[in-house]
Amino acid sequence: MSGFLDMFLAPKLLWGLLLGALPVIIHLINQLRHRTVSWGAMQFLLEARKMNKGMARLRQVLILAMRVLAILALIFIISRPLAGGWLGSATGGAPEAVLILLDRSSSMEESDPRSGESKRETALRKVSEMLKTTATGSRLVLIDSATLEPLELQNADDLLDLPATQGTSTAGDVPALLEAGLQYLTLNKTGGADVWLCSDLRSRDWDPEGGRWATLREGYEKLPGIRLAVLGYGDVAEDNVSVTVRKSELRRLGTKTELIMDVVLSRPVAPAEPLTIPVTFVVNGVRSVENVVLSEREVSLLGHSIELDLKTQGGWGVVEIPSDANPRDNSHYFVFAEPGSVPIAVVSEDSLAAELIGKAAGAPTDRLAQHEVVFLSPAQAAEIDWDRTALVVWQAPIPEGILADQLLNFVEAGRSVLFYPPRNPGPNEFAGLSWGGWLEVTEEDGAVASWRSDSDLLRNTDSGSSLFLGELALYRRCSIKGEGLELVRLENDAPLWLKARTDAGGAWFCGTLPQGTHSSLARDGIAFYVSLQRAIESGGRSIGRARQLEARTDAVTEKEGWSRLAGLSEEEVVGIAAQTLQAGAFKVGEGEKQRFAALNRPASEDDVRTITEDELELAFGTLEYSLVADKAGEEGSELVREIWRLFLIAMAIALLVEAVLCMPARREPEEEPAS
Amino acid sequence: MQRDYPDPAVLAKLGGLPLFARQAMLGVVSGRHRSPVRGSSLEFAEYRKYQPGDDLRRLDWRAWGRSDRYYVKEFEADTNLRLVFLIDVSGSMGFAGPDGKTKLDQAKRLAATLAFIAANQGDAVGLYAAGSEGLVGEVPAKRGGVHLGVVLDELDKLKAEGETGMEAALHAVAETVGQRALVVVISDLFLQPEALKDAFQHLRFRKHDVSCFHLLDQKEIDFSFERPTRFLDLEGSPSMLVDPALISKRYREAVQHYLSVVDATILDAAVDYHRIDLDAADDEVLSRFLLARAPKKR
Repeated sequence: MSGFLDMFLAPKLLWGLLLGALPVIIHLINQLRHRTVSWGAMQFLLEARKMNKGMARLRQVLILAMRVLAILALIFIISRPLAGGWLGSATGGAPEAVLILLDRSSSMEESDPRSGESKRETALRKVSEMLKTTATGSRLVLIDSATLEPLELQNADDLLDLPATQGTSTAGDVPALLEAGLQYLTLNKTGGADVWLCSDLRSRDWDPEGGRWATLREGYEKLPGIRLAVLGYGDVAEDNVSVTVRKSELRRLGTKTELIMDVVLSRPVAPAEPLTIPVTFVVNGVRSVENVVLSEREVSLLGHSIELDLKTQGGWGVVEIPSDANPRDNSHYFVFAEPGSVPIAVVSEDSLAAELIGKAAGAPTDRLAQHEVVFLSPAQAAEIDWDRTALVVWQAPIPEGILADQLLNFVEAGRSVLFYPPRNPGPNEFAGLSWGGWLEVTEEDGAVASWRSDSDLLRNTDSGSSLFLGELALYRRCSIKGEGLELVRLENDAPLWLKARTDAGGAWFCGTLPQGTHSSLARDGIAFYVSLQRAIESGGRSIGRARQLEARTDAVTEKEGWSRLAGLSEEEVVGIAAQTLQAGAFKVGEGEKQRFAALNRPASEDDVRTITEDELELAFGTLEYSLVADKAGEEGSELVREIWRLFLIAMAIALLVEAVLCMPARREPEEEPAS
Repeated sequence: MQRDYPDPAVLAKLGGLPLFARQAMLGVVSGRHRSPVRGSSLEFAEYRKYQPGDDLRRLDWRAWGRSDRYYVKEFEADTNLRLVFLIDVSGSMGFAGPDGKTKLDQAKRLAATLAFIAANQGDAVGLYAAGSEGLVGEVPAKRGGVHLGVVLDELDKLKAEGETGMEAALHAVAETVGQRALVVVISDLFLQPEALKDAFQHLRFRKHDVSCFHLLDQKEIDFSFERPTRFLDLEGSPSMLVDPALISKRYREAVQHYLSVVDATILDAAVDYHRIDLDAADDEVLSRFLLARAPKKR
């Protein structure tokens, strides 16, 4: 019933439908108010009634039906009926709050070739139109995937103009978006809310098998009066070509200085006929074009070299291809600089642990990178070169005093600290986390229940492979106290790996040691190695001279003095935080201290696989939702629109039919008397 | 007993119009009606050859002088008329017009006036009533003023009730009235036209001169009702609630069909037929009836 009532903006007026009985009642009253006549010619009445059983009776019923229909149509008109794909779940009486969860990822910029309207713009236009109709008086809140910050809107039109709704080159993370929504709804205790999630249904953004969905389902189910709708743009432009720079290295060969690049062009499906695509390279402002033939789904231009000025020590560039469905993947920025070494400090009281950590940290994934590992005892910790070091591994009691402040500043500057438990855990804490005590682990308790595979240190690889943490054998572990972002959870619900809450950088607590007496971390190797390398990469972003980064809010910070070299102009995007959401090249410092950063869309944005309805069911589980499939630039399929005109037409037709049916039969002309 | 018929005003308007039979009548006394029996009278009929035994007084001597043959002059015999009324007293005859006068009242007035005229010209008058069980009242035709009083008294007693038994009554009259008579049927004829046809033909077969006053109100033909109306059957059947808007067209079709069949039946049975509206003035109805029956001048 509520589904039906949801179809009207003024459902209370539907009580007026009872007036539909009026013609029938009047008819019955009219019948009751008959007069009585003594009559002799009954044989004609009987005969007429017998003849009249067909059409005339039907006509009378039709007249009544038309009168009822006209009244019902009138009531429907004043009740302001709505029509649209979200009917029955996402419209209806205005809710207390309306939450718009907007995927601003790069892939949402895929456009309709005729109208030029992107998926994001189409979604915003339609949601805005719907809100204007249905959400009068509701609090409108926007949460976008790039910032995850709730933003209250004055009116639905803001959706079209606000900077927070414009396109970005960032990745989409639907569970994070829903988490932010859940957090907002929980904190603000909204009585009832409509949640509209606008997404292009990319599998990598949704991660339907990820561990966060269970918490999300539970959280949303606890909230009363929540209606969830997904506005999905699952179509993929099959002729869209994307360009990615996989590598950009500065190489000196004798008297020559070259930029060596690996460039990949790809599209969702192989073209029917080979396509020649002019690829434009812009390096330090100098432009060159190379034609690339695309005959498969993907083509790589490996080792493409561009000769540079001999004295060039670094710089930036962009690779561009002609415009197509998605402008966001038609260019890829890159920066280059002479490679330098990345210092890593291992502060350890356990020589075996230090050795294992040093081995894993000192073998970089990139053959041109150099990781310089420095081993220090806890007493030597003051010797750490805080400005140059990318990662500090701390396997000692948590420091206090000046050392603790230095370590915290180090993290706030965007570097990484990885804590392993000391022999004797002390009471000190770091960013809200501290060590508890050592515990012997039984087989049942020590099994890994879940780990965060969608982001952070233990995320799946770019190709989607898991880090096999489920097979980790645990013999001894040190409990972790305090609240942080859980990366690994054991079967007994205890956290094994936590990330401290910090504004920048990363501080992780791993509750066991890598050696075989404590765990199989070093023996299995993969998770141990990858986590260390990722921690180094994360911390190294803020110290390398040329950094390839993914566009996101904290990719580069104003505090460090970064400014934009290329990409969108200052006029187009105000503020460094907003600029870091857009692809572009940035620099900081001058002369020898000059450093470059290229911000691009994440590789996952080029993965065109979309989530199936079954996967969607799996993700939402018992949570009720409705999916509205739409297309970029699609006109005439508004999410909701008032359809009173239809009822007006119905009423007019009903009245017309009634009038025709009521029209008296044409009388036969009387014969002229013979003259 | 007070009665308002025969109305002197109506009689005055009729101005002494006589009642004629359309065919020869067999009577025992002299009257103004032709008799099928030839005799001596004032009206010449034909010549016939003399046969031995004929009355010599009726021999036409002038014809003998002219042709030298003996002819006897034949004259039509004038005789009196038997006027028999058959009045329908079924419930439907209780149908009243706006002034409250019923069809039966109208039938009584017409019958009484005609009876008076007939009695005055020396004809015999009889009265039969057709009720639900056939003939329910029976006054055989007789002459004389006293008998007229009996007929009028009997008319007074008639009441409209029950179903129609007109068909049986018509057959009964055909059989009961032995000699040729002018049978005046006054009824609304609400019975199947086929049955009517048989009954009229039966009367004609018995050599009766049949006249029919068909009493039918205009409302019964037009069915000019607008609001839903409950029709109570005057003959006792269950009532019917009818929306005229739904049914009037079909009703009129049924009436027209019925009237066309009645017309065909009347034509076939050579009945002197008069359709009479409840509002029609008695003097107009009767003068039209009497004038139509007057012999044409030669």
